[in-house]
Amino acid sequence: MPGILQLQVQTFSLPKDGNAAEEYEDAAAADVGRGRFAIADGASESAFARRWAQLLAEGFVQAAVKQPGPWAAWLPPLQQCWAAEIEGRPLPWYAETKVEQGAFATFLGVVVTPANWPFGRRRWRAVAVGDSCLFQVRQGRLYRAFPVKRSQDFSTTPWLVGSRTPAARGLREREIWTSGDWCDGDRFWLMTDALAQWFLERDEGGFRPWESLEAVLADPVPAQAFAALVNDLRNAGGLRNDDVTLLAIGFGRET
Amino acid sequence: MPYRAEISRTNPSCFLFLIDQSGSMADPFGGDSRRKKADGVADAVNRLLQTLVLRCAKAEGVRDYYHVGVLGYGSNRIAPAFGGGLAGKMLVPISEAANHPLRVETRTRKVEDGAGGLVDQVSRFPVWFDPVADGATPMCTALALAVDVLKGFLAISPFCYPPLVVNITDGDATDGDPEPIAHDLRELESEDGNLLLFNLHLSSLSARAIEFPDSEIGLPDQFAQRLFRMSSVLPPPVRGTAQREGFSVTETTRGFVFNADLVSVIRFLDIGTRVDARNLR
Repeated sequence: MPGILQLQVQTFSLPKDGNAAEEYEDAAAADVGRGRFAIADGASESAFARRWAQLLAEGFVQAAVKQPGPWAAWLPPLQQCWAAEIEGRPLPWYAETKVEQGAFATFLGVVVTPANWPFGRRRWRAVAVGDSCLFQVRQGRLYRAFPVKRSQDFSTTPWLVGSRTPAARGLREREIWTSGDWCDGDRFWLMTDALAQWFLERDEGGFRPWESLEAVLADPVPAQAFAALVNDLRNAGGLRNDDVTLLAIGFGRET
Repeated sequence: MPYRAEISRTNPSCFLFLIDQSGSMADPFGGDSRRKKADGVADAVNRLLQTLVLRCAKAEGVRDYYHVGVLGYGSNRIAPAFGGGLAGKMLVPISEAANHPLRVETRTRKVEDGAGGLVDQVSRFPVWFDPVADGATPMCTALALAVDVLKGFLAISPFCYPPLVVNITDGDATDGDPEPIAHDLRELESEDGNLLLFNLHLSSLSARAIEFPDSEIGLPDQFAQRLFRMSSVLPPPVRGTAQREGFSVTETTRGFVFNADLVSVIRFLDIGTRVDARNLR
């Protein structure tokens, strides 16, 4: 008798080449018990975006409300938190202007239910603003791509979630929702734009980019293998130089 | 492929502004008798610098993605136009410019409070330049000095995203024909492509604003036509970005604007994920 099917997650990240580790502005968060996962990518043009991306990703997985829920139910406290941490600091004119504009990030959140099989229907629901992506791989092929479906659709001006933009305003036209089913053996890959663009390009070319990522997971030192893969891809010109974040979500049996 | 170099702190690019400070800049601007062309120049260059600084500003400070310089020409002299702590300096890292404006003015405007009312929003407006209008217009000599300055920059930054020169003038050169020297300037190149020369023409004519035209036919006067010819044709990657910014462009579109806003050119340059104006609504 096989054990209970359980969610497993591994997270990888690397800053843009030439940037320091503390300049990395993506974020990832996971709550395996509730089946919640999120990634966010702070817009490089905005300031205090690293903190905003962290607040968004953690806020999504930790929210008391059912997720994915309406923005107004979980976003405002994060915006207040962001402002409270920054306000009151003496800042030069340009930082003051940046704070007034707010910080911005792309966002993707997914809820996989139920976190523990065998009860309930195997479903997932996701929400995205901008070009942080989810890919579902099933039986050796790309089964679902969300929200970006083609590599040519990435740009330098994605939709963003703002730390000062009222939750009730605007997000309705920027957000995209979707849902799907999952099976034993499926793999979900959550990744920020540069890696996602590479992933789609390779898939469109008939290659199987997830095999390179599976090799990272199988490596005795996965974090090191991930850094080596990203550096090789950057050096070969296949991966745009940007912060990179990857969440690998799979299903394993508890023994 | 040209115009693809990554703009980074280890491989910065360069902005050089040439600003006309001649006596004719005291003439009215755009048919408005209360406003002088010199005010338009000071306003344009202050806003361009502010926009550039903000694009490079992060929580910890301003990242030196660019070196910037401002060369004033008029009053029979051509010299670096920065004042205060930057006086006498030709090119400075953008962080140094950010930290040394002449002054930072506070401006108040009414904005929606989100609950149907209006509140005062205070914003900070840095000023590096005050209006100047005096003497002749030695544009040719200024362009020649720009050639020297940028040759120096390119010698130490051969792989940079090509420098951008923005000449802000009423077009009336008094020291000869600037077209051949503008050509020499556009011929300068890094490994990533030729230098870009953009011209912002501030005119007393009340003709409508013109942005990024693709032909000199229809431009309001001979100065506008000459400045159009002096301006770089937008290379394909820049053209693509201009198009996404909402400008109508063709293969012959040049970096020229007439009595219009040039701040958009700073948005043409890629230094990472941008906060598109759509997201601020």
